[in-house]
Formats: sequence, structure tokens, C-alpha cells
Amino acid sequence: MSMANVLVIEDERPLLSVIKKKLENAGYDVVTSRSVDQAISYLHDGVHIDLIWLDHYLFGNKDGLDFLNEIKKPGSDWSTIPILVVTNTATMDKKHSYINFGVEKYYAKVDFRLDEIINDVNKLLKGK
Amino acid sequence: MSQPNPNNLIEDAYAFKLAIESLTTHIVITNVQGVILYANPGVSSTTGYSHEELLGKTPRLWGGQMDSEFYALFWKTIKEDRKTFKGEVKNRRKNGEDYVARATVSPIIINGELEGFIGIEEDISEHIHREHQLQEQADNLAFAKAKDDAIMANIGDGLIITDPQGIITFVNNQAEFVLGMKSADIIGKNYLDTLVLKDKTNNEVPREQRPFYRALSSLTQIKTNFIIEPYFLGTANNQAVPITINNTPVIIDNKLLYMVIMFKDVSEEYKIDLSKTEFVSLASHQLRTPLSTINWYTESLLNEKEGFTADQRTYLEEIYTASKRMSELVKALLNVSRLEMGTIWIETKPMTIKEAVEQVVQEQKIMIAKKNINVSVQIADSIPTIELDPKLMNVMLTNLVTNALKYTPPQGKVSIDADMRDGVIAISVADTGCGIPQHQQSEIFKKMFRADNARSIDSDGSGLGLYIIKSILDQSGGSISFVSEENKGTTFTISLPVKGMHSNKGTRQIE
Repeated sequence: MSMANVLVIEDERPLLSVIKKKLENAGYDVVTSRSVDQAISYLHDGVHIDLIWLDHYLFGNKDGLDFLNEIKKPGSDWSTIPILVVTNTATMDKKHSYINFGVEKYYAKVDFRLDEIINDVNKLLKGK
Repeated sequence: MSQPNPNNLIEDAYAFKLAIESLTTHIVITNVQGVILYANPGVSSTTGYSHEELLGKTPRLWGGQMDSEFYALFWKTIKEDRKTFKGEVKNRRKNGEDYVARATVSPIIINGELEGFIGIEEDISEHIHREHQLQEQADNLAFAKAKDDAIMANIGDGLIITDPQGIITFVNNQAEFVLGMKSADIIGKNYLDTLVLKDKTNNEVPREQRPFYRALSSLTQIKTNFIIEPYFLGTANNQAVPITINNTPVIIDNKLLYMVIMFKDVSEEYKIDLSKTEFVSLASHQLRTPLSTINWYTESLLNEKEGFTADQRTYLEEIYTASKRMSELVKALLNVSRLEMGTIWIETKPMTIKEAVEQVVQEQKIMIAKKNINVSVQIADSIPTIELDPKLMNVMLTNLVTNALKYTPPQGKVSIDADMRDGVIAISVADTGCGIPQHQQSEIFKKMFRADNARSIDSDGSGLGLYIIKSILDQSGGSISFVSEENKGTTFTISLPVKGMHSNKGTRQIE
């Protein structure tokens, strides 16, 4: 069985490494990115991605919503990839914007254990 | 015509003399040259000259203070015209004191011949003095009133006065300025109809909740505090000015005379408060990232099956607990700043109170088991499914239930009841804990307030929970109340309209 690929887009280095480590322990191949542009370029390079783990505020001048605008646009090859938004800083109506984009789930980092989110990843990628 | 009886004549003359001599009015009879032939005792008592000193002199003795023009007219009237002269004259007593008299001087004409004059004078200086005093008093009063008017008109706070019916009778400059209205346009109008009061969510405050109405109906002073009751005054150009208001009924002899309304524009303070709130919001957001890092790394370490001693594992657990508590505190701070910065997002869906309560009890089962607390839940069947925001219900009930669990000693009892009464849905959380000290009960909904006994039981509480609940209910159409007895327990009751919460696409979302 080939391992599923998870793209983690998160600007905080310590968080990025613990997420990567945990996902790898759970048996996934992990690609990481700290900015929208870098993440998009991975996709353009043809890296196959089964799930995207997305933060809101990122390096560079684009945020998680800009990323979704890009990959959810009509005709996009990546519009069906399941997305988990894991953030602390996106507030208020931003959450609604994410929900409107049809993301799988929206997490406030501080309220969730890492294991809980990994469990959800497992559920979404079960059978891959 | 019968001859007069000489005896009667004498008697009459005697009575007449007696009357004249007992008058305080002074009466003088002179010859044509003005030499005094008779002066009654009134002359002596007024002028201070004795009868002897007066006889043979002219009235110039005390008179003669007027100008020549006066005397020319005087003599012409009584001597040439043979008419009565009437006027006020200035006289001088023997002791040098001036006085004013009203004088009437008539010629005595016998058989067509001028024989002399009779002068009657009345000292009116006392009268004039009193008149002066009255005038002075009136002037003083007018000055004092002008001064008061000027002060009232120019004080830096808005001042409006109404009569007992609430009709505006006075508006000062500052009130005109803040309202953007001219006093001439609002005097005579009903206060409650003319001045629009709004709450933080820009909704008009219902009449019976307005401080003016409350002061008028209770006849007590109602003073608002912007932190607890943020009111905004609607102005002519549709602005909402943040204000504090002081409504004072003026009662004299058990009768309401006026209502005095003073309001203070707290825009500057409000701006400062908002920037403080924004800072708290920003800082809290920034705190979350390192907190998440601590949480997730500690969690990862705790998940390691081997490699730690029992002590080390305990230390890690302490770090994890503290970090979680810190996360909760940051969340509460963020919620407070959201509630203060704008209107909250209220997104309702049909749900039952039972669902909301059971979810919270389920979430708290670890703590309930740990303290072995008997939690009873009784939800009346009569309560229908209503429109509620699940997140807000959870935030409110979690706060109440965790408080009840925290302050109730092990093996104690916590009861959660809900029923419909008086047209509202009432959800009560009753504990058998330490209670709220009587003297601190009025402060319990203030931000960051913690009762002394609560602080000693649990030093980590933020004092934000009840403030958050009250703020949420203020914006969603409910209310909260409590009864508490120290060392017996406290019951908090959330009242919601039977229709449920009203949805509102606010600008902030509570977590």
C-alpha cells in the first residue's frame, strides 16, 4: 500500500516540525511549506497530495484564504483535495469564509490536541 | 340751622387736640411769614427739636435741603395760587440725620384772606429704606439666578431639566452641542421621545429600561456606569455618542419638582478603552502560537511510552495542565475583547435546552467524577425546541457548570434545572458551594472581579466567566440573575426569551 501524501502549510517552524513528525509516525509522507507561493509551486511541480493541512497566517503576503482562492478556482486540478484548516489567528468571519470554501474541518489549535487532529486525518485518508 | 352747643364744641375741640397730639405724623401751623405758631409732638419726635425750640422758628429749621427751583414752585403754589402743595422733601433732624418726608402744605384762608399755612409731614425714610432693601434683594436674586443660569448653560457636561411629566424645560449649551439640536427646538417636548438612547448593538433601549424612566418611576437617582451599562446617545446627525447619565429626581416636600439629567460624553475614554481592548486581542492572538507549541510538544512527550521516570511524567503533566489553563485564559481574554470591540456573531439553529445542558455535563464528566459531585439535571418537558446558538450556549453553560463544580466541595451537589416561568425559559445551575459574600454580590458581573472566598478556593480563575455570560446575554436577548448565601451555595439563572436567541451577523465570534 502506498503511503498517502500530506501537505502541511504552517509558518511556525516548531509547530511545523512537530506536525510533520506526528504525521510521519502515523505513516504518512509529509511535504511542508511555510508560504502559499511555495505550496502552490509544489502542486505545480506535480507532487501528488492527498490532504492539505493549512494555517491561516503564513509567510509572505498571502494567507490561507488566498491559497484556497487559488486551488479552488474553476478548472483547478486540486479543487477536490480534502483540506483541514488548523489555525489560531483566523478569527470572526474568516472561519465562515473557510467553511464556505468547503474545507473538511476548522480547528483552533489551542483547543485541540494534536492527536485529535491526526485522528481526523486518519479517518479522511482511511483506505488510501 | 341750630346753634352748636358750646359744651359739645369744647368737648369736640379737646378730642380733636388729643388726636392731633398723639399722631406720629407731624403737623405745623404757621403764619403767612412761615413762623411756627403750633407744632404737634410729632414734630419734636421726628425732627428732634423741642416744642420750645420750634416755636417762633420757621420749618427751615429742619427743611431747606431742597433746591431753589423747588422752593419757588412751593411758595407759588401755596401763596400765589393758594393751593395745596404735595411732594417729597428732604429734611434734616437736629442730630444731622437726613430723612425724607411726604409733605402736604395748605394755605389757611379765612374770609378770603391768607392767614397762614398748615403743613403735614410724614417721615417715609423707613419706608424708602425698606423699598431699597427689597430692590437690593431682588437685584441680588436676579444676579444669583443669572450666575446660576450662566453656570448651568456653560458646564462641560450635558444638562437637561424636565418637569415631573418628562417635558423638557431646560437644555444647556453642552447638551445642545452633543445632541446637535437647538434648545428652542426641544424645549416643551417629551424627553423620552426626543432623546434616543441606544445600546452597544445600536438598538434603541426600551423605554422602561431607560435610566430616565427608572429614575422617574422609582423616584431615586439612577447613575450609569459605561462599563456596566454602555449607553449611546442618538444625535441629530445619526451619530451615537457614548455617554454616562445621571438622572436625579428633585423632590421637595414629598413632591417631585424636576428631573435633572446630566450626561457626560465619554467618547475619548471609549476610544482609549477600545484601543486597550484591541491590544488585548492582538496580544492574546500572539500568545496562542507559543501556547500551541507548548501544548503539542508536551502532549507528544506525554505520549512517549518509555524514557521518563514517574516524577518526570508528573512534571510534564503539570506543564501540560498549566499550559492548557493558560490557553483557556487567553481564550477568555479574547472573548472579552471580542464582546467589547463589537457585536458578536449569533448564529442560531433549532435545538433543545436538554441537548445544550447534556453536552456540557458530558464534557465535564472527568471533573464531576474526580470530585464525586452529585449532578442532577431536570429539564421540564414543556420547554419547546428553540432557536439557540450552540456555541454561545456551550460557553455560557460551561462557565456556570465549571464554576459550580469548582466551588462545591467533594461529595457536594449541583443541580441543573430548566423550566418555563413568567414567559421565559429559565435555566438554573445551583451549587452547594461557598456562596458569594453579601457585600461583594453587587460586583459579581464586573470584569475580572473575583469574590474573596472564590479566590482562596481557586487561585487560577480569571473573573471573566460571568462577565462573558452577561455580555453574551445582553447581546442575544436574555438575562442572568443569581441568589446566593455564603457557605450554603449559589444559584445562577439564565433567562432566555421563549422565542430563543435572536440571530445577528455581528463582527466578532465567541469561542
